[in-house]
Amino acid sequence: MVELLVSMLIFFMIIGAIIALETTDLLSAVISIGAIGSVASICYLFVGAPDIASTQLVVEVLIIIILIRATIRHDLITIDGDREFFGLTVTLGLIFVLFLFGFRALSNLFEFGNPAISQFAEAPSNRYLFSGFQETGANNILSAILFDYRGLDTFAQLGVLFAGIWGAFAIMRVQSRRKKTGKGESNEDR
Amino acid sequence: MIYTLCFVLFLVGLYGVTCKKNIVKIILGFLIMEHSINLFLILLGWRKNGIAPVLEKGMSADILVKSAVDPLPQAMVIISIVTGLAILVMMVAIAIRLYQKYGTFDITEMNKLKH
Amino acid sequence: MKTDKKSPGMSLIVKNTARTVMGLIFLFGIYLTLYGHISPAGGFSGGVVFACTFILMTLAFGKDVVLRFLGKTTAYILNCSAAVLFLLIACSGVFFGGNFFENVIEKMYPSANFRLFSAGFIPFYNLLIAINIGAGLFMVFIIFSVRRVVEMDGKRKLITTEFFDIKEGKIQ
Repeated sequence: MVELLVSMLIFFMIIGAIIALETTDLLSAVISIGAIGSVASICYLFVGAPDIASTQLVVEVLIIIILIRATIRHDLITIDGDREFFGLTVTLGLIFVLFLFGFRALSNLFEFGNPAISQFAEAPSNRYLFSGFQETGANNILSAILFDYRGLDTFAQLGVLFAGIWGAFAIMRVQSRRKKTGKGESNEDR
Repeated sequence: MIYTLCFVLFLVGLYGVTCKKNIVKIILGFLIMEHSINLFLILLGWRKNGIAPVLEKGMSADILVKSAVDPLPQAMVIISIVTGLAILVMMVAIAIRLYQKYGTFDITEMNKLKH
Repeated sequence: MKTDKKSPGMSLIVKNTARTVMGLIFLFGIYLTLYGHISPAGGFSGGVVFACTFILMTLAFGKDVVLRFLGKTTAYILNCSAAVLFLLIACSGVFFGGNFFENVIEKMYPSANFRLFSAGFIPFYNLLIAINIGAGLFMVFIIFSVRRVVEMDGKRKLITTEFFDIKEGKIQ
């Protein structure tokens, strides 16, 4: 039952992704990406990850805001001119070959509904689930993993967030010095 | 079967990155690839009739070990979602800078113009 | 963000709705952060909701209102100090016990379960992560929306962004 529902939702996401890439209006493309993220959040709820569902929903709202705010004001219509036929065909052929390889590789995984931790009793997740509450005192085993057992990953994620945000800040800074030849600078339009 | 659908979503994103001319469409392709990877990682850890890994009052730890979903991919995916937001911010900053320099979002036009 | 009307921001309906709803959204962010170790929530969700509150304020009232109390300096200080405090708390485990990320409070004073003040350091970690992510993502939005028009060569308008705050009436 869950498998059927999640399959239908992922099929809907594929259709939404194709619409987002093929439409000529940029605003419709960004809204389709928002739809994909919201459907992914519903999928997470069905699979037993409520923490991630709320995070994904709020982050999706921020993604839509940043994309609309930064790009739609510049260019509302996209002009897709003549695309070369030969390059497109070769790329699509290579993507199809990749799909065949991936299909062959993915059929060797454990089947859906039978995760690896139920086969191996000495997996680390079993220890986190068994003694997470006594050792840390936190109900939410996910919080106990993120901040006590695997705290170093959370700490490194702070560094990556810094690099991303301050890198964007460094790119968008005012770069031009005032030229000496007297070209004035008029700042209106704040 | 579900894993193949996730992989097809990843390939749609890959088509968007390689075959499109508009920079905003390339950024959307990256976003689709990232959604598909997060979904795949969480679907790996699902147990049939499983519960979320949260302990309630009066529940012993054995029930969790027997019937909870895998919490370790979920910890990875939460960090990956917020990191993806930082990557998107940097890509959009580069796209804005390119627009300010060349006046268009089209990458074939950028190849022809001189700076 | 320049509008044609005299007052910046959006129309009257949006302003009144935002004024009513903003405090509740902030409260929801605090709830998600503080209850991160009891129910499914966490510092990441709460931090992003914090950022959404300030973005709503910027969109509805214009950027001057927000930059007056959360400008560049305040956002930098919040962002960096949360990360440094995170590292200091993590290092304090070495002084008291053995390991690097040791949950010191839980080992020395084990508290009652299912309460708000339980589980040692984990509520502190959640709070610091939320402050860090909230301040950082608000900085991102300010980067993309504060603009200034510079005229060069007379006909080519180069729109650059300047990240300033307007304390005491002057730009720093």
